[in-house]
Amino acid sequence: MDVFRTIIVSEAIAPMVRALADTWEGGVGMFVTPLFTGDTLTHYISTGAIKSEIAQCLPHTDYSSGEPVEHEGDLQALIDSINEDNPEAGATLEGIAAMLSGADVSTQDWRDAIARLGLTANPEVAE
Amino acid sequence: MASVQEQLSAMALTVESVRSKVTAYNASPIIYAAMGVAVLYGCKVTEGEDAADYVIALEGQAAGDSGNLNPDASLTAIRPFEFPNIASTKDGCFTSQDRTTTISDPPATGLGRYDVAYVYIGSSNGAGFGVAAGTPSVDVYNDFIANGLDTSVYGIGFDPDLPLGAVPVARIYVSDDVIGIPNSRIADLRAFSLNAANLAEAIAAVDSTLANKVAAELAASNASASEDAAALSAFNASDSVDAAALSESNAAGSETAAQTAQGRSEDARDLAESYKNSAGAYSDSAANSLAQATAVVVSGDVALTPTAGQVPLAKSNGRIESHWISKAEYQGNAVAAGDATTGILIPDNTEYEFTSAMSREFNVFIPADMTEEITVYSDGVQGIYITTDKKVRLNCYGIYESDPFVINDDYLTIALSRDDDETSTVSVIFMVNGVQLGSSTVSDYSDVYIRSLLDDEDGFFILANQGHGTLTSAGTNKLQMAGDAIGTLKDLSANAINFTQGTSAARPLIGRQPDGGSRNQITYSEEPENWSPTRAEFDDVTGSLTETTDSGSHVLAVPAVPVTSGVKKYVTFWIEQGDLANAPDWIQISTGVTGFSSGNNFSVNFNLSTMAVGTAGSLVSETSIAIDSGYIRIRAAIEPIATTTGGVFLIGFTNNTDGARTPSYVGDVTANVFVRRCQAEDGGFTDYQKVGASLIYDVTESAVLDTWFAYFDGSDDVLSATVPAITNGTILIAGTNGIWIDEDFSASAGTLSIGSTTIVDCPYGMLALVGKIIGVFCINRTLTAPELSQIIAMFKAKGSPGYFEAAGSELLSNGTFDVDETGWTATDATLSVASNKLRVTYSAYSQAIFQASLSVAEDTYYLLSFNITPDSTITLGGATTPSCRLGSGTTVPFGATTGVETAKEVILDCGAATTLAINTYLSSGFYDIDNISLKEITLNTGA
Repeated sequence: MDVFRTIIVSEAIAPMVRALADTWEGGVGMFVTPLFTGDTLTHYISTGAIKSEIAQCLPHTDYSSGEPVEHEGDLQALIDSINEDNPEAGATLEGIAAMLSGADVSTQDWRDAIARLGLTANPEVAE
Repeated sequence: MASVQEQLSAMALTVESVRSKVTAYNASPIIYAAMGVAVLYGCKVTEGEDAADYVIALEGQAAGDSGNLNPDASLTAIRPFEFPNIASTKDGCFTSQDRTTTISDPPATGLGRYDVAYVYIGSSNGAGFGVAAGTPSVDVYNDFIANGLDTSVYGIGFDPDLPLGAVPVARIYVSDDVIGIPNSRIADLRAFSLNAANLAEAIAAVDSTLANKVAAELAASNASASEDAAALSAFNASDSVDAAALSESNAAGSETAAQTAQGRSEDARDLAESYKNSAGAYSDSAANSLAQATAVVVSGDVALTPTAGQVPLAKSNGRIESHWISKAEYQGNAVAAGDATTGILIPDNTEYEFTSAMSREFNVFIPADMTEEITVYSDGVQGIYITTDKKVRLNCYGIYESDPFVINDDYLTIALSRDDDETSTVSVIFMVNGVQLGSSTVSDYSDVYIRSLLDDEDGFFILANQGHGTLTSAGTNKLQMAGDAIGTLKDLSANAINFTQGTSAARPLIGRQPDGGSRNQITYSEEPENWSPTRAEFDDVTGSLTETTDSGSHVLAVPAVPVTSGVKKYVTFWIEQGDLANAPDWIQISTGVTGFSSGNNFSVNFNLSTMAVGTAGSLVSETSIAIDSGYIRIRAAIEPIATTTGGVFLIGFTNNTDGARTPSYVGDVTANVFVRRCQAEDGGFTDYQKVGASLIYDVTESAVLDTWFAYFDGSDDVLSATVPAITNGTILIAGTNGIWIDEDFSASAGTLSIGSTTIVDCPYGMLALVGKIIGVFCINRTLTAPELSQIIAMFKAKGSPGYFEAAGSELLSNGTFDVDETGWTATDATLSVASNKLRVTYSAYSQAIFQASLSVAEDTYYLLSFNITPDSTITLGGATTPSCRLGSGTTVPFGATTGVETAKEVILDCGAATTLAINTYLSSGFYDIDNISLKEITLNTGA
């Protein structure tokens, strides 16, 4: 079963997160949609259904009740899953935690999520 | 012309002659071999005892195969003619009791194959039943998905070769998407051309109206002692051979029918039923053309008189007796007219094609008082329903509704068919006891014809619907539920240009909404267990909201909805009075604080015993209480005083009888109310719509057809396919807002994507205009006006309200720069005119050109078009793509451009303000732009 998540990552960690996503089923091709701060590309987004095993492992904020509720996730389970499927990946808890610190994972619709973060789907338009 | 009696006698003599010859020949192997290759009796291939295994059966007396039974069959057959399965092969006579054989394992996922079952005479071991396995392929798989089971005669390209002398009897589709071989995947290939009774039938068919005339006269004979009755009696009583011949001549070879006729020779109704079987045997011709063959119910003791081409259909017992005949079942004649069939035969999970090879007849019992809609059959958007106001509503590649009928505790027969000519439309007739209800209705398009346009032409045809796609890009697990992510959307044409998405998060969702759109804004509208109780608990089994404390307010909050200051929200709850000891009479609708503030202004109380409405708060109006759908329906229009997305409405307990905001009710934990459902909407109170987990993709309404669609989130959702080059072709993109038509569509060979905001080579920003995608039709040629009209009609029937046009007047001034740049301004760029084009030269990063004070309207869509030529030293676009905006509407990127002049089209929604902006992000150089045009897009809802 898949679970809805909106994941926004900074441009700096996007290549690493893409590589991470490549290791899970249906993850190839994530984080290719740019987001902008003003007229500068600063983030990438992936929003939609992902495997629940992955979704539950990722630390995220649940907005389904209206108020944000933080969930710690289970990074160790994520790492175990990655290393089991891809032993050569060599994922570590510290590495994944550091990388995901630059990610915003939530249950929000992408429009609400980028507004919360002060981002736009298109570069700012001159007035 | 000879009289009916004379014809009848002549026919009887002729048939008797044929029968005598066959009887004389008996089942001699020599004779059968001489007759050629054919099945004579039985030999029907079925799923056997279990549809979920790979064992198939050869049956001589299969259910629903009454027209092909051997009347002499015996379980202890000794002589050849006693076997239930008899076929003529080049090796001689195949005779056999029932047999089974096992299909080979299914091929790998994503592949399908057609196996062919056959009977034969082995050189050493006599009669045999075997299966030749086909070659697994993607083509077979896609063909099955697109077209369903192939029921054509043996010899299609997918069929395997058979052993010498074998007689094909069934084609079996084998794939791993289901476990086992159900009947719905077995196509009957039996050829009965040499059946003696069919010969007789052919003779009878010389005068196609004879059977009906005879039935009429025999029916009349039941009511009087007329000469016909006497003749009939004499005919049936004096000479059993004649009676048998008569019956046989009309009973598709059934000697059983003849014997029945003898035994009930005075019963004209039963004889009429034998003619029913006769007519059923005509099924390959007249009975399948609904323009000719309608159904008549033989009701009680009254034998109704069929008119030319009609098929008498016996009324059977049971609340709903229906025949839904799939292609495979039809080909096997598994359900013959008049067979007593309980329940409804659910088809396989491919969407029905309403072909000429299908006959559909439904007998539906209509009670005097209908409180609930009867679903005769439903499979996603398709279905047959009896509405509570007693109309038949049907959607099967078209939408039909009968006139209201008056039927109480009686049966309604629905008959459908289509002409053999695929370009023809579909006729639908509703009848009760032989009387047609209203006029025949005719659809204004033919789905089969639309598909056939792509038979010899490049292009594709996709419809976002259940069964038309799969959850994965590998083509497994059919789309079924609203909210399912679309991994693959199948091309319904033979070109098999399937659209896929391998990235799970980038898959659009399949969804549905009522025809006409969604109104209810409450998610989980009838699942209050997903709402939020305060000082109360909700039992999701009983639906009871019960207080949990003896103080404070006890309420249940619906999920938040957006509210706008000063704009009434129309709120309806459907509830029932509680059943606990102190279940209160008074119930209150109130609001949360956000958007409404606190106080008494936003609440109103209702008495569930007296059906009285208390004094409403000052910002509450249009209150009412009534019985609706078996519940108590309470309504209030409440006016917010602030704009927010977090407006919340509450249902709760109160003892107050006025508009008091704070309920004075002090609970004692023995008060409850049953909460059933809620609706919050704008603009007024309307009929209830059920909302599931999402307002976006799961909204339905009783008695309103579903519109199924693919929802692209506008961020990263994309479906892609590999297409051949399309040059000056035609594309129609149908959405829930309307249909975009491009009659000069060209696309390069390669990947063509739908999403995230448009379709490749269509105007940028188009998906926002058309809405959720219902379907896309693309063909590599210009369509004729009638062809285009049919496709538009089809998409409108599936939920598109009309088609878009951008043919209005030009809204920009000086878009061609014949003289200078008058009317245009810029920021971070300098403007000049060179070669009658506007030159925009970099002066600082992030440039824009503007034209202000346009005659444009908010919330209206416009088509912007222009030609743009970047300086040869730069690329216009890249990571930061150029874009357009109208007023404060949505910013729409228009893609990168390098070097050459490129035509661009962009669809813009207009927000407040009236300025057009075209933005670029040059770091140096310039670009030229010309032929800038802006026109309003309007929706044409006409024919």
